[in-house]
Amino acid sequence: MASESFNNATVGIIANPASGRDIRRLVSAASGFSIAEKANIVRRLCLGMSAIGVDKVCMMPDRSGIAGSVLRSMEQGTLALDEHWPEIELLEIPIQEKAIDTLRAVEKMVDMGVRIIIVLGGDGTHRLVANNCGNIPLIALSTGTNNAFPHFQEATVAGMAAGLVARGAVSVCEATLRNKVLRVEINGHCRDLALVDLCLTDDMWVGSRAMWKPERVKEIFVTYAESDAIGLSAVAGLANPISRDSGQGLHLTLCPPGQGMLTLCAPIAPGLIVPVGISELRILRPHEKIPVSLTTGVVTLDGEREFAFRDGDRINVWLDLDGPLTIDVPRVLHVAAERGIFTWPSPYISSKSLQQGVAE
Amino acid sequence: MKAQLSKEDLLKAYRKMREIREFEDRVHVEFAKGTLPGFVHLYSGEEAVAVGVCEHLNDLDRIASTHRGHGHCIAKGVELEGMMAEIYGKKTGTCGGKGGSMHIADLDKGMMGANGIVGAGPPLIAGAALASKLRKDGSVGVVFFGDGASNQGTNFESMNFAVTLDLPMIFVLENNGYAESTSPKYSAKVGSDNIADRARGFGMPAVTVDGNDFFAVYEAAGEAIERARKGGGPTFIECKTMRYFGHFEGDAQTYRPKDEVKGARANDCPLKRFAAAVTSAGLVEAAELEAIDKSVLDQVEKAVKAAEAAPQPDLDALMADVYVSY
Repeated sequence: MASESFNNATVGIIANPASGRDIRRLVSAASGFSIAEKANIVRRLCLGMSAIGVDKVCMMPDRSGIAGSVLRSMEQGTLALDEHWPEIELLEIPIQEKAIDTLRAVEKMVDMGVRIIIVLGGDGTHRLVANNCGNIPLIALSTGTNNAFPHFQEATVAGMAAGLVARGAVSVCEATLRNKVLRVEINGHCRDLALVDLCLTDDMWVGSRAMWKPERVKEIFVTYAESDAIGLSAVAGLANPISRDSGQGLHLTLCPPGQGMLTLCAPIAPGLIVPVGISELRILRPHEKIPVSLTTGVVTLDGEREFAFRDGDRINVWLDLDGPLTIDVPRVLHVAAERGIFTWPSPYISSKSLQQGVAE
Repeated sequence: MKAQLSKEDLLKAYRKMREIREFEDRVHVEFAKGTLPGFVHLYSGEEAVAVGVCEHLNDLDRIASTHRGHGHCIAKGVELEGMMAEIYGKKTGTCGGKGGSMHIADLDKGMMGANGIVGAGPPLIAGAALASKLRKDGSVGVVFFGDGASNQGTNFESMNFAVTLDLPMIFVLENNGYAESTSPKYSAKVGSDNIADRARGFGMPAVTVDGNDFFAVYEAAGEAIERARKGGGPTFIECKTMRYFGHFEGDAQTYRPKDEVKGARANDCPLKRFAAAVTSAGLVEAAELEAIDKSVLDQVEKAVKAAEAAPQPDLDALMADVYVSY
């Protein structure tokens, strides 16, 4: 079922320069994702998209050198390697080197009518994008620390999948799955969302943001819990796995190890496997508002401490099945292959280099 | 590292940050009057970095600073009156009035000196950290340096040395976005924001934190210093921050967006953020912070008056401290 074909498709790229650089490099064995490698991933995405005929990419600007390196790669690759790149537009937004940059970039991409947003980051980056992207499908690529939401995926192939969906060779309906989210409200006002896990800790401050001390975590909510996950959702995944496409989530109340109904050894950060006690575990039904038991503490969203709440604040959490759409890259390539889209000649393979290669 | 900061800790940290802000703002005013000799480079806006790190240190721990060194001195415990007199070039100054702004040092406090040479601090602290390791006294060395200095060979050599010898050393990069007047729009070319990546290339843990958030700096520095004291080796911490004044006093700052500092002062001031966090948590009353503000203003005023009234260095001090006999 091929859908309408689009010749002037624009794809957005959010590459978070800050992902994969937080304190977990120091307190756990987390890897670092260099700026150079992020720029290289964007390069491969662009070449993958260009092969499928995507003419234009808009990209979040940054001060860390990702966008600058990509532009240099484009110049050098075009001149020296006969590479064919799409036009790259850096969005005109103020750069504050904070989460607001991502939020603004996504808003701008939505206004521009991009067909797909490709995200490079960890769970936290994807959460920010999900806040503002509406129904624009995301391709979620992992360059963060705890990556329960995005996957490791070769960027060339991800770029080709983006091109296939952006140009209509594979329809959005065929390509995407709808994700769940956890929503959190404070004193009756919806404050934010989490894609994978939301935790309550007894910290006083947000501090360096990342959460790696299990003794501080008092409650965990998850949208889904995979047994092979890394991060706080791993605790739920080892206690009671919940699939990504099921219509329910999980709520755990924690206690000191050795107490309560269950103690697990869980990988809560790369290389950091710790005992975690669970005193209560219950299934979360959609839209069932759960008040949190702590009166003072910090809310973490997808592994990062986000905001503090104080005595008198009322915090509720609930599961919402209407989260962002994500593109299933393997499925897109599979559908495209079945349709013979990669068989020459193809209306979707428009790169000049490919044409030259066949002609020779 | 302490699990939670006590009220006493919080008030002390706020006082140090306020001392830095008022000291620097006053030097800004006095320099404009033409009463101060030499150059000054001011630290206003970056207070959370110096204090967030130095709150974990004692007098045995050594730090090395930069040309923008007043904040590090104050955070490490150097007396304000001596510092102000030093900047005035007076006999009662921390270094007898012969060092000036860029050479304030107080070895009793573990402050090995501000430094007029960009990138001179890392080798000094590599040496101090080697001494710590040989003495086995549990002390650590911390070097503060900027994004401009991060491109100096001395910094690379020191990272290599620290990793090779597993030194108890912490590299604190104060990334205020401007290498003197080089705007961040050129950063992709000079690579100034990628320095944490370079540190990883040497095999040491490298993290990036919000340098305007005292608690973020405090937490990262605490983990790094504790690790170094236990023999875990060096760590690199990149603190993203902003200076409110020019590279030097008198800098026209034509390389900066017009409202950049105004916006930062309003929305990202380390002191305002600290005050909001501790008062909303109910740990400190706003009136207690206001009392500190007033007390520090008086303290700085007293330091200026004392510096103005102090004598010049004696002529026969001219040749003292020039050469050292071992």
